[in-house]
Amino acid sequence: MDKIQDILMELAEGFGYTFALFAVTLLFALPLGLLFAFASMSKFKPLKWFMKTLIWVIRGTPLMLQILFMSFLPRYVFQSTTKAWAAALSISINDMMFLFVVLAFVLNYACYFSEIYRAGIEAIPVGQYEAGKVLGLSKNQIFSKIVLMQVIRRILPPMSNEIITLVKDTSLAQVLGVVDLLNAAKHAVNHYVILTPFIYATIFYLLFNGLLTLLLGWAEKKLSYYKV
Amino acid sequence: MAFLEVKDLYKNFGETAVLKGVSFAMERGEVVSVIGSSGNGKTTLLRCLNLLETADSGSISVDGETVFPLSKTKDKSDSAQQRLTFGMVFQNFNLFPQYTALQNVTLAMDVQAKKTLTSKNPFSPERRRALKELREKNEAEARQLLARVGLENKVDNYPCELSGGQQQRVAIARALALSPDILCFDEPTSALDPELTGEVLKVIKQLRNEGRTMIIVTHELEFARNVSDKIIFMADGVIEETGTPQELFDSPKSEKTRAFFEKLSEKVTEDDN
Ligand SMILES: Nc1ncnc2c1ncn2[C@@H]1O[C@H](COP(=O)(O)OP(=O)(O)O)[C@@H](O)[C@H]1O
Ligand SMILES: [Mg+2]
Repeated sequence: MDKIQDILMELAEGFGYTFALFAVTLLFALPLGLLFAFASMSKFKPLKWFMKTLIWVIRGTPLMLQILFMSFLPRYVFQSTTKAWAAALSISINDMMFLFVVLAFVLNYACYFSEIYRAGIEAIPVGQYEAGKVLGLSKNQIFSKIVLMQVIRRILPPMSNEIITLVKDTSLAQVLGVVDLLNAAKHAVNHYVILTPFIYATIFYLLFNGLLTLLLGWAEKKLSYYKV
Repeated sequence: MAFLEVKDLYKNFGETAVLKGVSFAMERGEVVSVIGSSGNGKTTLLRCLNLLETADSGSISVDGETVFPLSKTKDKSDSAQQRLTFGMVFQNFNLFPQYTALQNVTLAMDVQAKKTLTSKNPFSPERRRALKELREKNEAEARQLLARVGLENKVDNYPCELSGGQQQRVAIARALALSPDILCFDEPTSALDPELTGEVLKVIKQLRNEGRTMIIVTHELEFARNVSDKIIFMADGVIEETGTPQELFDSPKSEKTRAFFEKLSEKVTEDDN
């Protein structure tokens, strides 16, 4: 009985990291993605091409590679060490590793989100902008009062897919030794020599994704009070 | 000097010359219809008037004030303001789908009203009270406008819940909301099923009776004849002929105008057969 409690405690702790990675990635990647989208549609060609190249590289390579790349930054690019960086930020080495993972995730997901934003923005008929213009609205007012709501509505289904994928991608954090839900389950399986931790982990993931699916489905329904 | 004076407008899209020196004038309260086959620059002319397109050269003045070209000293917000000189009703309505009929009409009114507030601090209770009052006033006005186009029962409906004719009437109310000096229509009934054109044309006729200044691009020749003080026939990027409806329809002078009417009547007889 005690064993189950111990395992569940370990898994819950792992889930803490999983959830933190998930939440922080969303929190930063959602706005950063919009910024990336604007940059990739910029009339200023160098910015546009820089952004397009970055998005191409990030989307064309494994997320795991990007996480590893982040962790090698201090040594190979800045001629420093992870330890020194952690000390400079006065956090533990483990937290520093977690930070590398977060950076890679935010960058990666911002690139994916930016493509969704871009598709959503480009799908808005030009007539919507023109109607706003002839009504004397400024560019910003047209975006905030007319375009944005329509974009959000259009992109919610593909965003939902990415968000569900993000939940599962969090398990990649273990390449830098972060003890996320899956890693915690793996440790427990090895330590107690039973398979049940994997089943518990499965239930954790499914519950979390189920909740998200409900939430996103509700939002989608809320927003589809009109047809486009 | 006439109320609206358009002088020598030129507009190219890349290599194609679309407007090749368009000049005309109209008085306040007049209704002018622009006719001609498609591809002859009618839409482009309207878009140059309300500054959705920038003409390459020429000038536009309303009530003695130059609307185009914009003087260099004026900034961008002025050009946004300038647009309110002209109202625009689009061929395919371009209503905002996420807003109700009422919200479609009040949106721009509220934005304009906000500019008149003296206090800029968004937290000042004074400003919020003033804003609330303005919003209520705008809403009442918008309801009246929607009633005038016969949609008092549809104020809370979304565009997707309205027929094409009803949507176009909301679009007319939305354009009227900012009391533009001149209201432009670009083929307001072309996207409608034939049985729905009548209700829109009726509203435009009613606006004429109220003395609105209007420029109407249309293929409804019978309607144009009834509602207009003046007809402009455009061909190949220029005004080929202009005159009263009687002059233009009953005794067209230009060869091209005659050919245009002949082709249309042929089409009508073909359709009848
Ligand atoms: N944005 C644009 N870019 C390139 N060509 C255009 C554009 N808008 C209109 N044109 C061309 O200009 C010509 C006149 O178009 P338009 O003003 O829409 O005519 P109308 O309204 O009389 O049918 C057409 O040949 C059309 O293809
Ligand atoms: Mg046209």
